[in-house]
Amino acid sequence: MSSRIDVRVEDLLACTFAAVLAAFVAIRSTSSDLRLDENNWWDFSFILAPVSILVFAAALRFAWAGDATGRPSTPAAVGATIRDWLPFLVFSLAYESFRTGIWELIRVEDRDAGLLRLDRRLFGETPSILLQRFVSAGLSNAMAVFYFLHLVLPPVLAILLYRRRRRLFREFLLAVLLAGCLGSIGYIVVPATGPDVAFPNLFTVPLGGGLYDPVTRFIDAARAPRDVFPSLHVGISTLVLWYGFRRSRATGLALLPLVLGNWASTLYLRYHYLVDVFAGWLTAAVAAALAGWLLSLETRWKSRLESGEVKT
Amino acid sequence: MSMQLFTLGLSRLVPLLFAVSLVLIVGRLAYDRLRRRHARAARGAFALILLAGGAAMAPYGWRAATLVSAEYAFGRADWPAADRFYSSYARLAGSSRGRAGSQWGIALMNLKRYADAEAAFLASFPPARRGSFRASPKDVLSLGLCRYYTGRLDAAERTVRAVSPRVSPVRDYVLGRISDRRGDAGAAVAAFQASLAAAPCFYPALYQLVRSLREAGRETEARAALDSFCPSGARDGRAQRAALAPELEGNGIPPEREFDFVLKN
Repeated sequence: MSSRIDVRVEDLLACTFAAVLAAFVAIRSTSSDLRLDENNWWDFSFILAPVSILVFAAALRFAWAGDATGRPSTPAAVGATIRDWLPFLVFSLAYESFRTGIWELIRVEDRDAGLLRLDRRLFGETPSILLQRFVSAGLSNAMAVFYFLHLVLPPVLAILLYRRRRRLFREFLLAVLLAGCLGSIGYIVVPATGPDVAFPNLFTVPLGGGLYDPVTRFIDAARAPRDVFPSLHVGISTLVLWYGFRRSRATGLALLPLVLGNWASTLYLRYHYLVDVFAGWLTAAVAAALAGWLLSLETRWKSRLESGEVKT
Repeated sequence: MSMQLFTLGLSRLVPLLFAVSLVLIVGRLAYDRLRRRHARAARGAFALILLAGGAAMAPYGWRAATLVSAEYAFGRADWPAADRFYSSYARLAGSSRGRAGSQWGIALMNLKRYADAEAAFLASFPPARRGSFRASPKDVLSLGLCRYYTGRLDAAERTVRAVSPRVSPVRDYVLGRISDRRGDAGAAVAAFQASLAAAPCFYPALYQLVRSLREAGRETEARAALDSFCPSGARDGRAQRAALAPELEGNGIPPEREFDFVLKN
């Protein structure tokens, strides 16, 4: 009986978000063409890689397993795996939707000038400019690698949680999805391109390095436009750190330098203003709190439904 | 291994893993269904489905391997090999739109096959509405360069002017060279100066500017351009000047010289 009410909060959220996105695509494609290219697929493939490995492992076990009697249904297990990871995929879709110029729907101009002004008013100067004095090839290379980790850390932590801590895995992915939703709202309301693109004349020291060049070339190619406020780099890596510590102290401590490097890289590489970083932390805090609350709400709702069914 | 190469390989491996999983599951389901009635037929069906699946995936796998090889050759600046692999990829029905076509164009530009490079760039632009195309500014500039090097000055000018001067100092440089070849020295000088204003250490613009100014007998301006080239404080300014200035030393008119540019995307 319980299988009939096995709807998860992330299913609802992911499906709603995907439906809104599909509606947008349908409307938008009537006025302009939509295009997903090789680089969009690259982003997706990082997120899909753990799912494809899990599905492949399940298929391999199924194909060469012994007698079929008593064996769990593999197609169902594959479906469940894909469903478990659905929030990640929807998050990716949301990010990629910014290549369609979604922010133009409400016709606001880029807000870079306002963000720079805010940084200067609150902190005296935007840190990317101050950090120029530390620029060196070695540091640029290290920062590029730290920045790239945003594609690596979330799937790695997710797969660690998926094996033994399924509930925490669900909460983590739900938080990532919620951060994606909140981030999308920020991107639409405060479209901006970042200090390097918006104000190249403010920088006198060029960035460069053997690793920096190919890594940032890749990042820039795969990056969606107007993905500045809030910094989801900071937001998602904060979630990685939070759920890493919740998994175990050792995981959290192992992730800590990588995440700190990731935060610093957003400023050093001139992708973000400092207010974006604060907004990223706030996004992560709200997303994590909401994810925990929604999952406990789901648990209460399901137990109430099940006890109601038992009584009848 | 470069980041692009790793990501490209991963992006091709992911769908392959899903496809192989599907074949394995379908094969085993067929095996389970037939086994009770005929064990040998069940094994045969399993093997057949695996073979058919493998055959269906082979073109994809071969195409993916070719593209990864092309990317690898491109990363090592092995232009003949990159051209060979990209053309094999196109023959295997791989899409030249986007990155692959653009990289192929760059490889061909490095081989100085500008007409072929132009075709590769044009094929890489995905069509948009009303007969227009979408392309990155650098790719459009590369297309303009191909047209310039093949001597189609009007087409080159139209293409290069479509790009913002902020994209690269090469934009104004090419416009200067086009004016130069048309005999419009004033426009050429202005364009070379604009190029140098955008990139004060851009030696080709300085070379052509000094040459144009000296041809016009404007030695004072030529000297001023040399003095203001790559001011100290700009990266490698002193080293650049020391290395490059001898070519423009003295008061003679430097010889006509064509610089070959290939823009990285």
